[in-house]
Amino acid sequence: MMTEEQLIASVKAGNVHAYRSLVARHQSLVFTMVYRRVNSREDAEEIAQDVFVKAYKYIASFKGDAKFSTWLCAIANNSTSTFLSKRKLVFSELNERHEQQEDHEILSSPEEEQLKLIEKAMLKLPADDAQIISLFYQGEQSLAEIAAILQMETNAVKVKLHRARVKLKTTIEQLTIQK
Amino acid sequence: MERDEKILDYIDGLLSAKEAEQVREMVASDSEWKARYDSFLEMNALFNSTELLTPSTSFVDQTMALIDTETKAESKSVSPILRFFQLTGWLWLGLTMLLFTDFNTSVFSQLVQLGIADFAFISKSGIHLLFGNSAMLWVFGVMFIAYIAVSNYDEDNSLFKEILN
Repeated sequence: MMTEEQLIASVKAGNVHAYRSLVARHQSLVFTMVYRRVNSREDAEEIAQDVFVKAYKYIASFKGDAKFSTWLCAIANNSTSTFLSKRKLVFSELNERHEQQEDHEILSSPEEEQLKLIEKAMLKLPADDAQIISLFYQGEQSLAEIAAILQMETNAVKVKLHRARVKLKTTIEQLTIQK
Repeated sequence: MERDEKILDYIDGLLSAKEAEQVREMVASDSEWKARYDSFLEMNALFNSTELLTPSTSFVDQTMALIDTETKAESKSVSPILRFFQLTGWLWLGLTMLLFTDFNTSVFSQLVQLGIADFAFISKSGIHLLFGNSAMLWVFGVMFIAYIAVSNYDEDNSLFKEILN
């Protein structure tokens, strides 16, 4: 199995098939990152596809100074911002609509229930907070890498992450009490 | 608030050895610090257990198909910059040929004879000067674009690609 560096080198050399493996590896990260901000699976898939197309076009400019996933997330962040500025989405309305859909889902195992609870709490967070938490925990990006993706100072990211975690913890606790 | 931040930094491993030791001592001696530490630790484990969301199963295929379509479309398309120089180039060549053709057989001659146009107000040397200058500007434009493309090639070859396409 080829390493990520080998795959990137292969794509740079003109092997389109190698790019398929890169898309397969990073599809969930890019999709989640976008979804956290747009709250629509359909839009998130469209934007994520656009991110991979852009990344393919400009892969020659990827020098390997940062992780490939960090570079992809930076493109995803810019593409999502462009999309949102065009659509002028109102997050709160979308959140409400999504929560209504979630409420009708069938109950499952305790572990799944807990994951659903976190997901529900994530939807209640402001999009920026949800994105930062996803990048840190699920995307396994460091504070410096998140700072590069979001074009912020590392210290600002640290403060934002700290606040987002406390907010998420409080929201989970509130949802648990409501249950 | 400061306490929470310290505890979270400790859990994330962002504190110096001295600061980490202070937090360890506080957690060991203060029940409130201990309770907060345990709840953050539990929260961290919970967040770490969550997985990334997955797009539809056809996502990779659709993306690759999109790349294939875009790559094919791009190879056929001409960049706007190149299109501009192509158009202005042909326009300049066409007009120059019209002007430099023997006046009796040129399109201008026909227009003058039909009374549709009167170019008497422009001297022949004026016309030559005008088109000479425009030709020079056009050549300089091409050289300028080529210079930008070559100088940017090392950093990002996208512009170079765009011009070559």
